[in-house]
Amino acid sequence: MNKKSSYESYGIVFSVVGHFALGSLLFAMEAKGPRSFPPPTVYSVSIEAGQSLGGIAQIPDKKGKQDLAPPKSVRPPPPLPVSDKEIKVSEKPVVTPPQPEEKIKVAALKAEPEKKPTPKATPVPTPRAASAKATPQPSTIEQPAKSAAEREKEELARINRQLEQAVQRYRGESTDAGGTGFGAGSLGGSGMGGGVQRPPEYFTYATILERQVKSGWRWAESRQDLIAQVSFEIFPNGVIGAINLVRSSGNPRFDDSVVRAIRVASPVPPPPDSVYQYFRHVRMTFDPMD
Amino acid sequence: MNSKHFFSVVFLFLFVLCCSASVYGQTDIYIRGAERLYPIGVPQLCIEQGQEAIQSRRGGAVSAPKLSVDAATEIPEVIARNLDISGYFEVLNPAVYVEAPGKCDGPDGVAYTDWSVVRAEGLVRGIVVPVGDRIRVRLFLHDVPARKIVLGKEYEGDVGQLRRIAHRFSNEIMKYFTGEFGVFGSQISYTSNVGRFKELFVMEMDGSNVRQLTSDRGLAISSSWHPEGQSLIYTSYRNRIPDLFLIDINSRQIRQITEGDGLEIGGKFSRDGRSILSSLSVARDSDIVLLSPTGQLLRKITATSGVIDVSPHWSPDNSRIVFCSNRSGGPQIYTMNADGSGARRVSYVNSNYCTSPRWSPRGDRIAFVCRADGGFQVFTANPDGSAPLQLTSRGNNEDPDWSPDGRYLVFATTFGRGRNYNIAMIRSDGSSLRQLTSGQLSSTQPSWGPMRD
Repeated sequence: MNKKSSYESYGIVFSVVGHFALGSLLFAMEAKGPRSFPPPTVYSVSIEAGQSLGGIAQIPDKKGKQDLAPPKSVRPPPPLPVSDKEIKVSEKPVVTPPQPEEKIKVAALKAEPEKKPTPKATPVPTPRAASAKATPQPSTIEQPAKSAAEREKEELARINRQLEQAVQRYRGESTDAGGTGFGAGSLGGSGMGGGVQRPPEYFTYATILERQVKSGWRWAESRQDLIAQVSFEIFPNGVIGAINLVRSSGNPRFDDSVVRAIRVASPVPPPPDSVYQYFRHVRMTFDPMD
Repeated sequence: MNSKHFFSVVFLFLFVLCCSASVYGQTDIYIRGAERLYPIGVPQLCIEQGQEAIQSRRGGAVSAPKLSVDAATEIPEVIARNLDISGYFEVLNPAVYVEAPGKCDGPDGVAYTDWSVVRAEGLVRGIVVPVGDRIRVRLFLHDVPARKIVLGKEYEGDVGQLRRIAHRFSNEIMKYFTGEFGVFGSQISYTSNVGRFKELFVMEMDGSNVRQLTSDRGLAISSSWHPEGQSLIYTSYRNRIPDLFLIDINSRQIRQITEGDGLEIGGKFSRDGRSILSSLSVARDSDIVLLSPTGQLLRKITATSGVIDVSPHWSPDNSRIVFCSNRSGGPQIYTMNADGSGARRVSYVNSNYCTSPRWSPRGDRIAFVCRADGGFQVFTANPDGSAPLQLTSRGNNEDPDWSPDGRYLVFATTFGRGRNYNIAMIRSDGSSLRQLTSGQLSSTQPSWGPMRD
């Protein structure tokens, strides 16, 4: 009797120590994972197809095939108004040298008079509506006919399965959590940041975010090997704050362009509550090569 | 009992710890490829005098002096055309302009919110003030997302200077958005067929203001600018054999540089204008030579007999020379030191015929033409031959030359309107091709002049 209880307590102690060790190990990795910045190698993962659920396309590394440009389409502009008649050249110098006065109007550059911070018109509500539609809340399936609800449930399960597989592919081949290269997953053990399943809204919203930032990001040179990384916070109302350049490209103008892209994108559609936790802190990597 | 409580508290603690750890996830998003054009609005300028906005330059009821009205219309038109051909901007269609044209409510009265709805990044506004028979123009560049004026300039001039004012401000706009001044206002010389002759012409970079320079009634070809931008060296057959001549682009005065013996084709001034790189053909041999500005032979740079070395061009610091040679069979592009040593091949683009090399003023690339894709195409490569890039792929594209800032190439192309050769420009990454001549005359051999003032 006494012996039995002592076995029991050994068991409990063993279990506690084991759990504690495991838990703190996991915690340490989790805490380390997302906070440390990834190795300088950069991977591209397109989540464009996330909206249609299940499709997670891997963009192959294009850098190799940049040697010869693809045929550029040549669009002749409208003919210029050059007269085909005799072009008379006047004898006297055509360009008169007098210098136009040019002075910088310092007065004009004075600080902008205080503008009310006009809250920009609420942005594109459509994607948000779409995401809400794409992910029926469980509560809404209670009332209607059972069969319909069941079918919907099955459909949801199927979608979830697909998504899981997609996530698996994503994890295996790429690097969300900081692996070392394409295909590293097949060698085992590249994922270090906890096996959290992400709901469909996650991918939908990530795509919305990506598109909104990308459409306002302007950088004229595409053949430049520059990478910059910015972290920021999205508030529940979609306003972006705490913009922080975490990795400079070495080119200040390029760094400015990416910070500006984030500013221009704000406010973004508010993240759905179910995935807000993932988008409170976002880190974006910008690569001008297309 | 006590210990059980203790354990459950520990478990709870661990559980919460684990959960909170995963909540702290940070999402990584990768953005690849920016939008490459800056949308910009260039509405009509307003005329300061208390008048109503100009409705139309042809509309009768305009009380402002004609010069002001012209300026208010022409300056933004020239700026818009410049920004369009630059390949860096998308000039917003005037139909989306959210303000009444010529609205004159001062530089501060800008509806930034409206402009950001049409996605404008930049906005050019300005005021024309008549001053006697001259005008004063104040131009402002607004950064729309930043909601402020980032550039303000005042110019004064007469009727002949509207384009210059527009070019200057366009260059400032380029500087703000791309970090480097533009080259608007620079000129391009080229050869056009006039009847059965070829004569030299000069135009502005946007294809306007075309002027015929020579009337040699012969072949006037291979023009190239003096570094000071006031004259051109070119090859003319006016004496039935090719010799080098210098022509002043304003007075059109011509001075003969070489005379006699060999056939000199194509001259390129050194940076200081004190020597001329050319090729001298004697019998079936052609060598790269250095001439004085008066045509004396300073020295031969290559002297291999039986080999044809032609089309020399300087590196920007004049320490090296790029040229075309058939020393290994077909014509290919080579570089060498200015004294003729250390020749290395540049053109490795799988073509058996390459010619017309030009070293970029930035020094980092060499442009040339090779036979490929059923015609002649423009390529660039690093000076050591690495990283070749094909810029054109349709029709024939020949005679490339760099813009003074090294961001563009100008060349002759058969692609486009008609069957003639036309002068076209392209960004050095192969984007934004623009045809500059109208296709009525066949035009070739463009040379891009230096930037002036």
